[in-house]
Amino acid sequence: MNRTLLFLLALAASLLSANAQTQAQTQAQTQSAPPLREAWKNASLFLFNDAFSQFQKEKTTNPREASLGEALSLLGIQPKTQKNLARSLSILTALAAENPSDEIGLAARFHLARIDELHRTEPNLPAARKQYLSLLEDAPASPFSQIAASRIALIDLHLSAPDPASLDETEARLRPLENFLRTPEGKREFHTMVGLVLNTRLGNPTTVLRHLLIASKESFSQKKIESDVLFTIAEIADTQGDTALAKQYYSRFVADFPQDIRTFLIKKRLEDFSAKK
Amino acid sequence: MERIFNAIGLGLVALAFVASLGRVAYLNWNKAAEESTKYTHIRLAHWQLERGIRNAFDEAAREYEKLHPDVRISQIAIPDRVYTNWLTTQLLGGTAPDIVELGFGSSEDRLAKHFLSLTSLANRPNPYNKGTNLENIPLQNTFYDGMMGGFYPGLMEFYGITLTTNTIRMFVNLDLLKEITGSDSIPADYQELISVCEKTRRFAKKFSRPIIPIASSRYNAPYLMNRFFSSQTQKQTKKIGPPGDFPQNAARTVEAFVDNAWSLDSPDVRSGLELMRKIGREMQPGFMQGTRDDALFYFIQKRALMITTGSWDSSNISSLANFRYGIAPIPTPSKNDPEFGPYVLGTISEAATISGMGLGVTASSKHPETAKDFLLFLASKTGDQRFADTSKLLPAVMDTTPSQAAKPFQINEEGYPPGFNLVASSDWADTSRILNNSYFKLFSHGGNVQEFVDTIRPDFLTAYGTDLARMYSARKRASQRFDVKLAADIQLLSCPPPTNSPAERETKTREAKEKVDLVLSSLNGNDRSTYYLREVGEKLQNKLLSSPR
Repeated sequence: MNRTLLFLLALAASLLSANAQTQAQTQAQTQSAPPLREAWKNASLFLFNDAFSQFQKEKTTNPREASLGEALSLLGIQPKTQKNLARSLSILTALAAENPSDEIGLAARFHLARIDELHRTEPNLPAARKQYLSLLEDAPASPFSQIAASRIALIDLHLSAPDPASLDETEARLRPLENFLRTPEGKREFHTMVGLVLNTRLGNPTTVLRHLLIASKESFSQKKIESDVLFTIAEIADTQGDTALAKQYYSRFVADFPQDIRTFLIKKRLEDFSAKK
Repeated sequence: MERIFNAIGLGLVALAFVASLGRVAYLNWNKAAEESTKYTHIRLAHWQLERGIRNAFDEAAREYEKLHPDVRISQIAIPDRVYTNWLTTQLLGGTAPDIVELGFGSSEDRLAKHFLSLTSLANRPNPYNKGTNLENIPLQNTFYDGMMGGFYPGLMEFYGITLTTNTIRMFVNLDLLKEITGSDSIPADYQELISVCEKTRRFAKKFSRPIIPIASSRYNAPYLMNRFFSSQTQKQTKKIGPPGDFPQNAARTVEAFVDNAWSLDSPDVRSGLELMRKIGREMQPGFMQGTRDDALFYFIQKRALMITTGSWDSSNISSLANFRYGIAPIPTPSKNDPEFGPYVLGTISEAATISGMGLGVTASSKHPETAKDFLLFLASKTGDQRFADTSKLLPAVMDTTPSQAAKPFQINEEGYPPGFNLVASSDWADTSRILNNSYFKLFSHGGNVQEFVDTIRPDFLTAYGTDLARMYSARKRASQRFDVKLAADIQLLSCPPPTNSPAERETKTREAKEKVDLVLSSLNGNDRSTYYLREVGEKLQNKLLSSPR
């Protein structure tokens, strides 16, 4: 009796175990990536509600990273509410206080500055600037600090009075920040920011030229911005009578952007230069 | 007792067996259904009902099947009027085809949720370009426009691979033209256009035939009107703003208006409006109330000598018109034009034309890799050439040759950027509404430019203010979203996806780095324009507060 019963029980157990294995394999095929990676992927695709739920579920396995994700998803969830903003602020403040210098702490500090700059109904630009500067001074090598330098430049130039003297003064105040620029991306972003904002605000063309020339030595991820930088350099040089520099940058523009709407205009200008020789 | 134990044991076995059977059957049901055929099926949905385009898709499918005998590709052509609803249902129901034409019903939110990003494909060379001069070039750089028609700036990702390029042209009924003018030579410049229009009106009156010079509608008219108006503001646009700021953006146009660098009384603006009136007077009365089909019927039924529309209407016209017709660029005034030449810089360039007919891969596709591979096949140099030859549309890939039928639509890169338009950005609803509500004062028999300007003037600055504020809010929201994306992409960079191939790992890490750099650059670029919009908005509000109504 016992042998028959044991055999039957073993058969039932093996069937159930095989079934469980099939199920586990199926799940493994569909959920092979680590859960936090999936949550960040959703956040990167602007699927903030999905990301938020995933981050909340993973708070036990990796609490600091999941909390950062939770706080940032709250900033993206629509409709934007004061409650979500306050909750995000509270999580980021706690993360920054717990460890201000690890990767999560630096990211939290950067986004606390972003909240003051952009996410509040009434921005607090001086507070944002203070936090960006502290981030830059404490950890210049962090990718967030490299972005912070260009943010400070934008805020200062925006808050400056629009007359040329004030803009010059502001630009001079920004120069020490160049010592903190450690990466090609950081350099490119800072000098592009100062150059293009100064140009938009009708600042000193020579100063604009200095910044854009430094930026133009780096590689650009955004072709549209690169084309604007090259065109502005060439046009300023042309206006200032620096034909050699104008020709150099007009030619680079034509070579790099043959399909741009400005290319024909530039070719005509280059023909003018040749005719005047 | 023994019987009871045996019964329990048997019962457990039976239960386990049934449960296993049911579970396995459930898990494999879909798979079994899929594998019941030996082929991988790819379905492609689009709204191009024109025969040439459907033939082009069919031809590409058959060619692909020859290379991949285990794959079968079918197309589903859905009329554009129901496409949005159809696609929404399919996406929400998880039954969408593998490949879908993007446009109607594919908002950015939907793309993010229901489609696969194709950015990684865009950054790598197209394997189907092997052996050609495009062999080692990243896919996006093998397109005339950098494949920007498939790029969604709000998402910072490529979701579509594009196949064609569209331009706006003037279609002329040659039989009618010969009857009216005695020649079938198409007007080559603005003065010739006006002369032919006058002859057409005289001819219609003399022979009591209901013929108008230009068929138009609220759909067609803006293409023509914007082109003509912006020819008159070209020189002014070059002067406004600092060096390098050309062609200027909407905020600069508004700031220049607030600073009185131009006004509704500026000679070039008046000239642009006068030009619009002249052209508008050659269209059927009440054209701004007409639809795209209305305009097309006027032309097809030989009740209009000309129509201005996009190359996408070419196959419709080709299949419906029972007369000879010619296709030519829109003859805007040249800089030597005695009447409208003084403000013109030169022919308007079409270099900024963006490629179209973007195809995306749905997230619910059971064979996403095959679907992507078919798109790469379509977008290869030979694939796009074949598609263009059969569809008679302009290709989008570099170094391809347009078919004879598509040659009149070729992009004209030899020209200058257009000037600004009164509607500073195409999505500015309030400014558009004010102009649309008052156009009858410009185009009607007794109307004139002064009356039109007097009508729009009181609300013009306010409309600029609301449109600018809307643009500012949209930019601010985009930056807020980019904030989260930037942090997410930095995190993803620090934990690349698991792979056993070092080369694959290197590629993925490089792509992740490029993604972070792109978002960073976009965030800063977007914020630059957000801050500038705020500054201009504040200036505009101050002007509004100080100017008596």
